[in-house]
Amino acid sequence: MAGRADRTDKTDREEETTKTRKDRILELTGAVIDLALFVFVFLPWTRESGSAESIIQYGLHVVNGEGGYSVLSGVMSIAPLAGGAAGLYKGVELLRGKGLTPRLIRVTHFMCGCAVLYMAYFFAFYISCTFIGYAWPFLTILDFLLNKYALEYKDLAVKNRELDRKHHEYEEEKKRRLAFAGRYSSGIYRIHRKVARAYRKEYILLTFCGALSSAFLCTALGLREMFMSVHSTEEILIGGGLEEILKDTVVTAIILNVLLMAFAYGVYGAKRRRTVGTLRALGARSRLLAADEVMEYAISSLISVAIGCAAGTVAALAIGAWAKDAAGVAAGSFSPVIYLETLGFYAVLTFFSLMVNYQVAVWQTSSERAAVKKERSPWKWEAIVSAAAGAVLAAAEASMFHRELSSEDLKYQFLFIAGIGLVIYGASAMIAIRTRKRGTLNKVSRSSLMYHFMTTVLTVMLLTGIQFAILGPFAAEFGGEKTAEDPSDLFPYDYVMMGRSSDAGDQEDVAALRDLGAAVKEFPMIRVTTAHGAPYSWADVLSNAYMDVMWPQGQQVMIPESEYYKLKEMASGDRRQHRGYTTNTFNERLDLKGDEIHVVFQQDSSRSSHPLEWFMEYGDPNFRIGQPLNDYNWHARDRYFPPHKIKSREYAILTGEFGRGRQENIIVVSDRYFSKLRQGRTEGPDVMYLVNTGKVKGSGAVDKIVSSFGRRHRGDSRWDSEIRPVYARAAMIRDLTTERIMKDEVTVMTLVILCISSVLITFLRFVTQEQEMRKKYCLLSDLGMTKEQESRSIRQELRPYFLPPAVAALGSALLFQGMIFSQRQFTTDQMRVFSRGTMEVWLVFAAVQLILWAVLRKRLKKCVRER
Amino acid sequence: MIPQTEKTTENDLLLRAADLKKDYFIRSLEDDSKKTVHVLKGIDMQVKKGEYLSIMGRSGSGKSTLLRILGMISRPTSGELEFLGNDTRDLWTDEMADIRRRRVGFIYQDFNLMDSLTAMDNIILPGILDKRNEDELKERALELSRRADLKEELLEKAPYEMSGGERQRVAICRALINSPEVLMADEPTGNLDERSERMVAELLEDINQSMGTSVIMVTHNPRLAARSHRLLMIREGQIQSEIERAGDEEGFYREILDLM
Repeated sequence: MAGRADRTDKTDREEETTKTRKDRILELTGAVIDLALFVFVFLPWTRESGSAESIIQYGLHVVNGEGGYSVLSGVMSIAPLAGGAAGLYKGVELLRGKGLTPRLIRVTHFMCGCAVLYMAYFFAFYISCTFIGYAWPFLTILDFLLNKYALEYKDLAVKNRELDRKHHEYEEEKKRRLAFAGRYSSGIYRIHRKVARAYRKEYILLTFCGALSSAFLCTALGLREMFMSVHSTEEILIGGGLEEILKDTVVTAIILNVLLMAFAYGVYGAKRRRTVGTLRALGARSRLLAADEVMEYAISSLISVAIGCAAGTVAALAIGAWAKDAAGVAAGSFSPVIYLETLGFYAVLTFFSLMVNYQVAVWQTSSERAAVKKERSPWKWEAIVSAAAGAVLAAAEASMFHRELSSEDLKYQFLFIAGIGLVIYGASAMIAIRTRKRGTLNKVSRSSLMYHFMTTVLTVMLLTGIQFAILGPFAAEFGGEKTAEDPSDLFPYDYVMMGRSSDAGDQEDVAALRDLGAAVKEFPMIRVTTAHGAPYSWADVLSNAYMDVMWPQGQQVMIPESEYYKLKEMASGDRRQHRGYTTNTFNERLDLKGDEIHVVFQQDSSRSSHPLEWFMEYGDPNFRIGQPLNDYNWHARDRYFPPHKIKSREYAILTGEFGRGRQENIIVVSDRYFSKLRQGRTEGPDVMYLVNTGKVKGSGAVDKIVSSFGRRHRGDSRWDSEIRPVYARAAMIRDLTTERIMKDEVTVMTLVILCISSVLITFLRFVTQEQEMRKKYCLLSDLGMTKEQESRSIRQELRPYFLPPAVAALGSALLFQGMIFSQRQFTTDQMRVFSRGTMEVWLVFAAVQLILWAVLRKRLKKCVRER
Repeated sequence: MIPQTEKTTENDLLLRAADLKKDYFIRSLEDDSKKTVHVLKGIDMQVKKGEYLSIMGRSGSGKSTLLRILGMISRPTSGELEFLGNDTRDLWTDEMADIRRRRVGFIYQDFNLMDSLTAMDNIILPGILDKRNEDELKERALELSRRADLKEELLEKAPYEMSGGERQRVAICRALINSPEVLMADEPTGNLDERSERMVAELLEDINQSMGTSVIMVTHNPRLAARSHRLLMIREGQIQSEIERAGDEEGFYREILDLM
């Protein structure tokens, strides 16, 4: 007995020793991490204009007033310093073998707090840093997780074993209790086919929507593939031009198609609910019901993708052929890989739309429905507050959109319509309250507002949003394209080259061009860079990943006032008459003083107006004299990019629309200020050559010289591939033409999908209400309601889904259209052409709505008269 | 008829409910507040094997809710329900589906037939869902349809091509295809004319007597209820009274009328 007891004691001791060893290893690993966190503080951490500094050096610079905001920079320095000091203390304690005492656990929590603070600051303001700056917070969190594991791993092992055992038992029980041997007979497929045939209309609708979505994707992906071979930025993964439109297309397609598919599934699901309910009552197993549903959706998806790909291929090839005939752009081939890409994107769409539409599945499976379903009614104060808040929001957003040197940003428009949505909510709430209190005769037709207030009002708000998107921004996009000048008018010179006056090679090339008979005009210039050259997006960040700054910087051309007049003189008349309308011209004397600037936005009339500096839509830009910086910290932005005052602006093409109005705009300064800047150190090109080759156009000699010039300065493109030392007119026209075709396709498809979504939402609302309405009108008919009264009441039931959204959307669209005219400095002629384009969209939409109204009215009448 | 004198044992019990409660959450039409509606307020009852039970009560008294719970379509908020001696509280969803498919047959007032299928397909559907052989199912369907006085050529028609009485008889055949222990009928003659009503009533009685299938029927019709062995009168979610049929149908009918 004694021997056995000894052996047991020994085993326990061994286990104890093993555990302690593991604990010790964990403690030592933790100590190493903690000490590393301390050492990191002294290593190069942040990067400022090419040089790396430790966090302490950085903090000292800020304290000494050498740039940076002290409050923000303080967080950046103090959080890692405090975390590092705590790491030192904890590391030493762990090395001394004290173990994870409660005090050390509190220290770990403190370190995590510092890391969270640092990360919040990091992601909010972006810190230009070395590997250490990224690694520090993650190591802190790793240290925390290691501590947690060291404290809990013994309990966790026991719990995991227990969970495994329970899971195994559950699986065994499941196998035993749900045993259902055998195979379903072939009858199940026959029955399924018959049921599916009965719902063929809804199935066709679902498949049609899927086909439309995949056709949209396939066409966009196909066109991008075909035009890549002729577009000059083909090698860029994500950037400007086609890729940017594609990126917008994919995002638009995903949002719109999820909406479209979700409602198509909604209509289908609502119609199938009764069948599913019957099958459930008859004892169909959940797996069978789920398999049925998955099979239906899978077949529908496959048919949709097949039809969509076929239609997309035809559309892409037709557009490609048209581009060749009409615009002389020889598109490349259509690769079958597009089909795989379409299928992939479609799978993502289906996944999201099914997630959005999960509620339908819940309806189908839920048998716990209440006998009376009445939604919450609004309160009086809720109505007043939401209407007032909505009005304030709408007014504020409209004023933000309209302010000078602002941008025609979609976000203002959608926040505006969100405000209008709140106003609609408030107004509907007031109507519901009034109807309830006064007991008006309209109670019958307003019953959906009274008893399904939230669903009704949210549907109306959603319809308002979608209809505004159709009648507002996308109709404007469509109308804007009508005002766009011919690409050939936007590039007045065969070549625009930017070089260095000190470069002998440039002089030789220019002389050689002149010798060949080309007309070359020289203009002094300074390269200037705005801190934020484009609206922020992750795609832009990726395309600028090689720069350690969050926003892509924008490069512009600065010229003196006297040269500006010369450029204006050369360009005069080019844009005056276009497609029968006159464009605006700016003929004022600038008389610039000090560092005041005049901005010439080089963009066509179809493009939105925007500020020069995109970040936070600053009216007056921050820019530096020189090329982009490889790295800088956001909070020290003013140090590297001093602010400048804009005196005036205009929209004109002086050299060419190279940067699509975002970059390569002309910044005019006074001659004196320009000379002063030229005396200092400048980076990048300082002379601009405008070349017209005339008779020697297309000669190999010219191409050779221009290529040699471009190769010599290709370093100027290293920050942004869209910025080039040589802009060739032919390539630019090809780029712009292909981009416009892509954009037109996207706009039209978006409008179509939005229209169908709007129709489906309205349709779904009534499909789900049919049974309730039938009961209500049966009762009213029994009570003596005449056919005429019934007809009038049905009209009133339909009205909230048609009139308020359309009026709100159209009113808002008109308001924004007026502001767009003012922002883009349009002439009356341009307004007329633009309005004609938007009017086409409005009329088509009105026709769709009228047809929907008639169809729904007929359907509802038929439905309520069915006994 | 179940003999009155015989003492009920555990083995005779088909269903046993104890303190069954069912609540729904709704929003009040008057003051818009959230309210809990106690549809069933503690039902205690037993159903014997082979019994023909009627449940009567005013609209909204909880009859149909009780039938859905007894038929395991929905679960009670609280209380016990035993089916053939087994507690149903811990049953999984698919186990309940198995019971509904094999042991319970449902008949509804509005028939709940699938218009996209023929009458034959509708009848054999629960059998197909139970993975049974289709030929055998069709034979059984023919047998049942003969019993229900449905002509064979009618079986290839869609439900919407039939009269109400024919549809209800198809629904009864569907309910019987898997030879269930109990038939749950929710106002089975509510939508029928007098002649069809009589035919359906006779068929239910015949099924109960010759096949030994228990029948639990919710009805507003005292004449139909008089055909059953026992009647539960429900009022405001509780059993108000219970009477057993002692003599002939006419006598039981009068008793029911007195109770109403």
